[in-house]
Amino acid sequence: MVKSILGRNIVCWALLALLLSVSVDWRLCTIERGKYLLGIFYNGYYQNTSDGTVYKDYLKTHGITHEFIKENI
Amino acid sequence: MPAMLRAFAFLSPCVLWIFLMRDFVFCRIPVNMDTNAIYGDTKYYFNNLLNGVIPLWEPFVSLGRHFYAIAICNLFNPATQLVPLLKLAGISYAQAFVVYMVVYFFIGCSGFYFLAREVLKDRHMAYLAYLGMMFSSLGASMFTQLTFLELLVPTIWFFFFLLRFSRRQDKGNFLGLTFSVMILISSYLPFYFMTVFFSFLLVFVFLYTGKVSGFCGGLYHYILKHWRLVLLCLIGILLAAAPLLAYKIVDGSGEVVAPGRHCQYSSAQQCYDRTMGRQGGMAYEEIIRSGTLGERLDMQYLFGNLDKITYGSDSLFFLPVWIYILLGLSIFLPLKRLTLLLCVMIVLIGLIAAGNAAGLLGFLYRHIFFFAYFRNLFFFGAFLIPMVILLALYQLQLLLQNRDVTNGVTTKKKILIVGMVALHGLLFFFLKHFEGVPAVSYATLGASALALIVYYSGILKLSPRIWTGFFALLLIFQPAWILKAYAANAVEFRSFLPSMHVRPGFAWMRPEKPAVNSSRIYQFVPYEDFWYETSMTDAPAKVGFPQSTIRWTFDLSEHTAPDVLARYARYKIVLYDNDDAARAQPQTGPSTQLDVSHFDVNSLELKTDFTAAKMLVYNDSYTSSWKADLDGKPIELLRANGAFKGVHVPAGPHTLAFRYHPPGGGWVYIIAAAGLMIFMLATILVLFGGG
Repeated sequence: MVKSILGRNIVCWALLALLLSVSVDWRLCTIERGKYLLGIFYNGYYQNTSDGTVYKDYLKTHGITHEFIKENI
Repeated sequence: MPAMLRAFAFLSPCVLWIFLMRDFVFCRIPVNMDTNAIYGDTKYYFNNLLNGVIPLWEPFVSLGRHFYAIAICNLFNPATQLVPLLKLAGISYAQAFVVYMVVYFFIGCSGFYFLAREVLKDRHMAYLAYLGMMFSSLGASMFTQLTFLELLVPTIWFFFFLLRFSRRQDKGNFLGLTFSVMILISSYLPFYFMTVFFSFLLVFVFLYTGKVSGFCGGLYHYILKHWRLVLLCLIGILLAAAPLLAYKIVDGSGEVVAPGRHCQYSSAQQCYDRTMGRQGGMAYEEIIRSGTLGERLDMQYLFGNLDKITYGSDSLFFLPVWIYILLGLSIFLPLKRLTLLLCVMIVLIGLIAAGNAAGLLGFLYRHIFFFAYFRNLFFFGAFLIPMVILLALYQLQLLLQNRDVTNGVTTKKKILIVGMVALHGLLFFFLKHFEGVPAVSYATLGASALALIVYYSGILKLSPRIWTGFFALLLIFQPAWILKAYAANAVEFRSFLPSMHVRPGFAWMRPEKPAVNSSRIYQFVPYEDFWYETSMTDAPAKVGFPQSTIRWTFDLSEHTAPDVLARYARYKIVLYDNDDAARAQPQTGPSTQLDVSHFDVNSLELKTDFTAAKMLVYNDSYTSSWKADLDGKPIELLRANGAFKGVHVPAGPHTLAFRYHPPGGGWVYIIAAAGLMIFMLATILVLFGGG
């Protein structure tokens, strides 16, 4: 019974998810992502200097809010 | 399956993909970002090749530099030779380049079909894998990050031949394996592949211990029996590695600022010290700050706002939503070894690609030498996509095997149907959790539930082929919509790239201001060098992005005010009287005493007729690989004014020539290209001819 429960994908994936969650600094990922996206799109107005498009939503959907920028970047 | 139907099944997705990406495929939207840079290098290489010159030097940018990109832009791949062939057939370079990319992508998708067929031993699943790869972000990302394909396509074929060779040790598979390695070495830096391969070896040995000794034994006997072929293959691999080795020799001379490539990621002083101190490799900080997967990817991005993806960013990463649905549906399936192998590989590569956000890269950097020699860790995303697709389709294969084929309503059928409904319901709430998930993803989820309920209920007795057709629709429905949105978003990038054939001419002066061009290329990093390279016109006199700049030119630019350097180096040729070195006579054009008789990117030949002996300075970077001769006889080439080429020229009529001769010269590249072509033909002949 135990073997059949342990032998399911769900156990393996839960373990791998646990491994990922403890071994990756997700906050650092978000900060790095913020820097990368701001590097492209931010000129004070979330605007791409190349195409003029405002990407405020685009940043926000990647977890990069104005508050986040103020606090972390 | 009849041949016509099979051809339709394989070609119709290609036609659909081309239709969705038509603005890119027909060059209405030009290639962007790194692909733009690779296009510049490719055009520069083949344009010069068609002029009869193997380009080894770039005189137009950074005050002259070694053409380093010759070793890392897949230029010797037989597939890349489509570019000059199409050019000769009258197609522009830009269009020919896109055709090559698209063909190469389809070669990769075909390879993935064969690989999936070997792994899953099921044609239908392999076909779905083919579609999954075609309609993932890999295809669309070729227009911004061609490096993904350069790394991935030969890797897919490598694993295909490796698997086949492990099952059948014959010449065709061995040659295929060798040819894949040759392409891998000559396409780009091989370190990404090495990381994936060694990770695979590690996990494979751990999970399939029993099969390792059998494979090693078979390989050993094969090598003993066919040692001549093995030797030939090793020579082939060395030939393919020659361009990279030639660059390594140039780099090792300390005359080329290879670490300068990464100066944007460290302080100017650090960069200068490391460059002038001839330290190879990169600092850990330079690697982690130069594009990790954690920087490009997040969960939200996998599911939400897929209609907002912009052509102005190279963080394109998506998989058909049905792939995720399949993974979600498989949570209660028995855990198989192949599932574990793929899962561990995905996590391992993911952790390495996460850079500093996970500790693994730091450990590898400290203990394995080659981790100091590559960056852009998000390139590993290219390997993750096919692995996830294979994993999901293996789960589909297992799910489909669970079907109860008996007639009537059975308990097993009821459990399966209820399970499918419940899991799809859970996945619905999972998707709801994200912001901006498109309706098409929910539609796919609904259609998936319906299809699998019908499948498990046994109401419709359809052949596996028909079911594969349904599953194919589920797979491509949502990504087709993403690709359509992606193309629509990219319309604002419409512009033209230089794509005319050029016979470069010698300009006596460099321009004062940058050229105005209509290209709307992403400006995150300085890509303007590639515009000058593509159009083969001079850039203003400065070292912009210190990418493979010559050591002394870099040093000079670091110690000279930019306007002072620009004012001086505007003039390509400056004369000095031998008795008055302080009085420079900049030359603005041809005269009776000095004229250009020949110019190409590797050499300059001048006719001189001075009334008195002069010191002639050619303001193009000096390296010890440049040689000078006067009337056909070698003369001493001096490093003049800190960084440039200078020679003493006697009075009277003379012919003065400067020529660039880096280690190996042009032969390195001819041999590499010929070697790859020969091995490709040999592999095809042996595989299809049975020889």
